[in-house]
Amino acid sequence: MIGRRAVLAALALMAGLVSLSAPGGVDARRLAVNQVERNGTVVTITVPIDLHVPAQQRYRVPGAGTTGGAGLAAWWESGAEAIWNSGLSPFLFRGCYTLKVDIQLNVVAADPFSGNSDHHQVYLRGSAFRSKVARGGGAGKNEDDPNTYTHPGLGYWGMVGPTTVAHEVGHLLGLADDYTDVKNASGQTTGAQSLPGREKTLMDNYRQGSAATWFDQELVDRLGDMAGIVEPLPPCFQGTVTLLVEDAREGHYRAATLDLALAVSPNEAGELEGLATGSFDLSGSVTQGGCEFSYNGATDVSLELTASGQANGPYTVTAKEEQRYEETQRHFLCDDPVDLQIDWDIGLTIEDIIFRDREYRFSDGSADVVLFYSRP
Amino acid sequence: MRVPLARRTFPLFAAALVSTSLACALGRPTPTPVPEIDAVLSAMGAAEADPEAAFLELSEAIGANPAGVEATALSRLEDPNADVRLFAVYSLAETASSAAGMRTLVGLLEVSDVTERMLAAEGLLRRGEPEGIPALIAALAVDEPMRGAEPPIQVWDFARDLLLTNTDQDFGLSSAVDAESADAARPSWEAWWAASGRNLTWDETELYFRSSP
Repeated sequence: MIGRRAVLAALALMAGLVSLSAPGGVDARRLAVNQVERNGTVVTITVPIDLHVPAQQRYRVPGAGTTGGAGLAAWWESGAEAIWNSGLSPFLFRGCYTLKVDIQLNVVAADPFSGNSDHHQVYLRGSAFRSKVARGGGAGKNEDDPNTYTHPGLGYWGMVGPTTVAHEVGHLLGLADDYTDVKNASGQTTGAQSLPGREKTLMDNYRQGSAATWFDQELVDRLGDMAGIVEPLPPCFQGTVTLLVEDAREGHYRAATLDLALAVSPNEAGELEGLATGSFDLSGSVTQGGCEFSYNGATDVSLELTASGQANGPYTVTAKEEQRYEETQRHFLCDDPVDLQIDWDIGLTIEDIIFRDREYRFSDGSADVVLFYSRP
Repeated sequence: MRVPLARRTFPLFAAALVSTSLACALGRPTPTPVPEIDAVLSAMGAAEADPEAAFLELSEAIGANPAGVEATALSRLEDPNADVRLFAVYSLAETASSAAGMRTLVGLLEVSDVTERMLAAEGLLRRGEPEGIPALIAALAVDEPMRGAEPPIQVWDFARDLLLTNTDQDFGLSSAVDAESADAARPSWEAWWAASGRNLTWDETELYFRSSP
């Protein structure tokens, strides 16, 4: 028997731990306003808004003629929700979570005594010049603040379109403006300036961009950070890994390559599970008594995974069971037939996976390798 | 600076006049500037104040005491502080219901600050008064920010939205992506206004200015 059992394992050096700082703190207040619900790797943030509308007031909705408050609310809700969810869908938070926004715009009477105290309160104003949301947490204009997940925000919205509503809902989701006011030497406002790297995104001057520029990974990460404060999100990894084993002894050279795509996410019980699928490729040569032959082999691989670890890591991902690859091949050493028995146990262990710089990484000992992160 | 109101001017104005007359006849006091609102307007232009908080107070006052806001705004339109002036115009455009308020909005169409002109035009259109349309058409060429707007918006974009929402015309404006392309539609809008401006009717049901056939 020439083949030997082997376990493929990636054992990595401990990478430096850099903690992910949350944007602002949350105290022990009850969760009352924005709700965060995780279903597998889909995280939905529900934003309940009471829209205070004068009775009998009519509004002009492009393409739909005139409508009452309910029609205005429906136009805003569907339009803004579509902007958020189509914008978020290409991006993953922490490499695997899809974020969704559920806007619930309820029409209530215009007076301030109407409405649900656990909902955000928004009042209509006539001019499209200014729409504002007060998040109430004391954060500055350019600082994200999760206060709106626990305390109702207050808004005054003008007669604007769904994109502006989507921007204002962004504030109710805790996001800050990504622009600053420009003032002249007398301190008077003359315009607005985008924050570096935020140009044309939804919380910036989105009118200078388009749907293609409104969302980016940074915006998704900021939103996910705040949702994660309210509903702690277990880690989940996905990506690809390639492992190579090569050795030579007693006239037998062999090289084995394991190419796997893996995904690990929390199950309903919150335990990390996953699957690694891909291929195992083997090649080698045997030299004995001045004779030689070469061989190749390959098999599909599917490994059930489990993972352990806490917070930002380190995590260890391990195959629950090894997969055996057995095969007998007929070869010839000069003219003598020999049977090569291939017998491998294929496993996987990846240690010291650390979440840092917004990505899951491990080190292969010589350089940091990003394996568990997907970009659109 | 003042422009006389057009003959076609609006039922709202007439209603406001009647209302004012009744108020006088019944001995009700004419709204006067409210010190608290005046302080909020001052805060909008004060470097040491919190303009975000001041704006929320102003917005609340617009809903709770529109007559008081209107009277106060009318008293601050000549303020030397540009931000105070801007938010006085904004407040007036939100609340104007008196004859003086409406006349002043029309007059504001002639001021040098383009943002103030846009706010006055918007306030007039919302009340069924087309006098602001020429100012909006002229602004299609203006590629500068509406100062103080939240979220930010360029003047041409603000004017475009108002023209498209409040009239039954387009002339390619809905596909404009910048001031240059918006300005390309301007001659058609000017020709339309010259030909139809005096015959526009405010459609109370559909909430826009209908061109006469």
